[in-house]
Amino acid sequence: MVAADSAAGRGVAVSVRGLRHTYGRGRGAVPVLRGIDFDIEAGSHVALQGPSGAGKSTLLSLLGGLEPIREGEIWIGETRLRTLRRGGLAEYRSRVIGFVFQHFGLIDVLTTRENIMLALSLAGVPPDQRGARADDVLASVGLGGRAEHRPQQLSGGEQQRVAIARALCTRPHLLLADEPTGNLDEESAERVLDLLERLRAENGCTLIVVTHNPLVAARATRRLHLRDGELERELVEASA
Amino acid sequence: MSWRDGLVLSLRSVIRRPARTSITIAAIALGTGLLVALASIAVIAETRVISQLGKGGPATAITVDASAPDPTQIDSDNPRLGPTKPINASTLTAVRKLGSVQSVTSVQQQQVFVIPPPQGSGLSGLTGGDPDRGLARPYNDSVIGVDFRQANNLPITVLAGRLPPAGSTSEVAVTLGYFDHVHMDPTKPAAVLGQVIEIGSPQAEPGGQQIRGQWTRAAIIGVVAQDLGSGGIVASNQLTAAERSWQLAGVDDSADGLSLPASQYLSLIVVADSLDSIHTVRSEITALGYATTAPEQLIASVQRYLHVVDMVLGAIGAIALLIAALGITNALLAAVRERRREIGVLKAIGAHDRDVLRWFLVEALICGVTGGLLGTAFGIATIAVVAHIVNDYLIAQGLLGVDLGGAPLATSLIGVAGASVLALIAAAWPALRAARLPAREAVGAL
Repeated sequence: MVAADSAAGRGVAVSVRGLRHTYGRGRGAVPVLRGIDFDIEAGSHVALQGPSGAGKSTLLSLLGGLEPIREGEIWIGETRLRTLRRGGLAEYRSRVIGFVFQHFGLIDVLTTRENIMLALSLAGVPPDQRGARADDVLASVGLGGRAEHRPQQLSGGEQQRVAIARALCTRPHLLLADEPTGNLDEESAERVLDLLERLRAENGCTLIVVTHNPLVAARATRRLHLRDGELERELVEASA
Repeated sequence: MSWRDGLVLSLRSVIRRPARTSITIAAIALGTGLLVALASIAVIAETRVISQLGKGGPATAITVDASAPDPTQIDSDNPRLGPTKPINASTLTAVRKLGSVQSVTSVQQQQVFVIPPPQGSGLSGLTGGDPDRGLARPYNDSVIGVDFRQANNLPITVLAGRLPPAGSTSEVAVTLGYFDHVHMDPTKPAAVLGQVIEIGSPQAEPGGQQIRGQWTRAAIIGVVAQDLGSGGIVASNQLTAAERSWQLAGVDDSADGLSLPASQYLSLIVVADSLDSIHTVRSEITALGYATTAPEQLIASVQRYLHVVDMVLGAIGAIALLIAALGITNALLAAVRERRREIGVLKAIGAHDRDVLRWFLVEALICGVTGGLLGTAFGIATIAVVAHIVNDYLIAQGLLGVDLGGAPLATSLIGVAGASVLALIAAAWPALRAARLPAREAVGAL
């Protein structure tokens, strides 16, 4: 069973030590992360920035348990990710992590409500509770009236709000967002960012956003800059 | 992921690509249909061909002749017969006690005098025929007497009309030989139905040169082909028993060709409980001291040829199914390629490898079951069409039609189940590939 810190504001949510990652082997090996160390406080809002190829997405996928850690350590609360096998990582992703993708990542053959209920099913929520929880979370992102719509019947902004609702429906401890406004117009992007910030505060989870957009990064309380697989610099806002 | 979620996801995925799904299902249906049709035709044809070897009776029928076996002919289908050995009630009882015997039917034969219509009364008919004017002459013949309740176990084929009821002494069936005597066209067997003939059983009077007859008037209600014995009239065994009693009440007049019948029965028709038992039953009857006739070697030989046909038809069907399986694999591989991101998203929100595996396997199973059902229906329809064409051809050739019937139930069920299993096997590789996709690689955008 996967365990994690249960609430925000109570100690370190994420701890990364000596993290290295290389794609490929032998002469074709490409080092992507070259030894990264940092801690993130529970409940904080962190932006991961850096040019393309800096290792942001790899770091996010390692944090999210999307691929195994080969060198170094990541602790999410009390969970040491390196000790988890495929099944344990799947459980970790379903119960501890919420993902928001640039491409929204909704299953287009399911309705918005079914998309959320599927995430609840994978997280082991009892069947009799899934419907009500899906309706609640859809209402919280302002899409209560769109429960029976398919993703392709929604605008980009609406799809991203559904994706946020799906990510938060399992009440994750860590919300990972990859360019969440990358496919949205300015107005929709603002709404999505407001929503992310509000729900993060309401749910008390830790939010890590990968972004190229300075406006998106500006909303974070802490900004980590990566370059060539290393942590180049860190900016911390005075006001959280 | 629950089974219900998996089923919903699979169903929606199947519906999402209607053209691809339709082609995949059509390929499965064609393969299944072809296999069901070929397998059914092979099974039915084998049954019919073997049945034909039984000449209207069951293929497992053995004829016990009223003769001792010739030791040099024991393994022959139609052995040369040894010296005459009467078959009586005790023989019947002994044969009935043998193992692997399904039924035993006795066959009687009585020599008679026949007066075809237009009949005179009594012996006046003896001079009534005039072939020059198209009128039939009286003639000598034999009546074959059987128990019509056992007609299904006897080598009798009805060509027109019906068989007389069991125990009837007023209705008989005739063979095509009758048409020669009455100068009628044997290609129109129904034409003699309803004719009334007179059958005279002869009796040699003691001490004299006189032969007298006991006459029975009987209506022809059927025309048959039979392989029971030489005789143009087939009647109930009650009729032949009465004639036999009448003849036995006289004396032996071998000098005038009217000897008393030595054997109570002409033969026995013994039906073994399976084709495999024929040889054993024949051996046991031989041990009782009687010669037997059965198409044992012929059936074995025909079965060998039919097995070759089965193998060829099975191979054709298997190739069709293999093509269908490749279609399923190809369609699912395309689906996996298409859904890499979707698979990644599922894994990112917590799906296990087994959930993804189930998604694709259930999707394949839906196609397999649907294709199997449609294919089986297609196969059955194909059999009906083939039967119709074959029947039309046989009738056009002046032959009797065949009843191909429908596909055997077992073949139909195996068709659906086989298509489903095949779909699962064909889907195994793409489904495993999908299940083992690394989560990050699947979520390509990260």
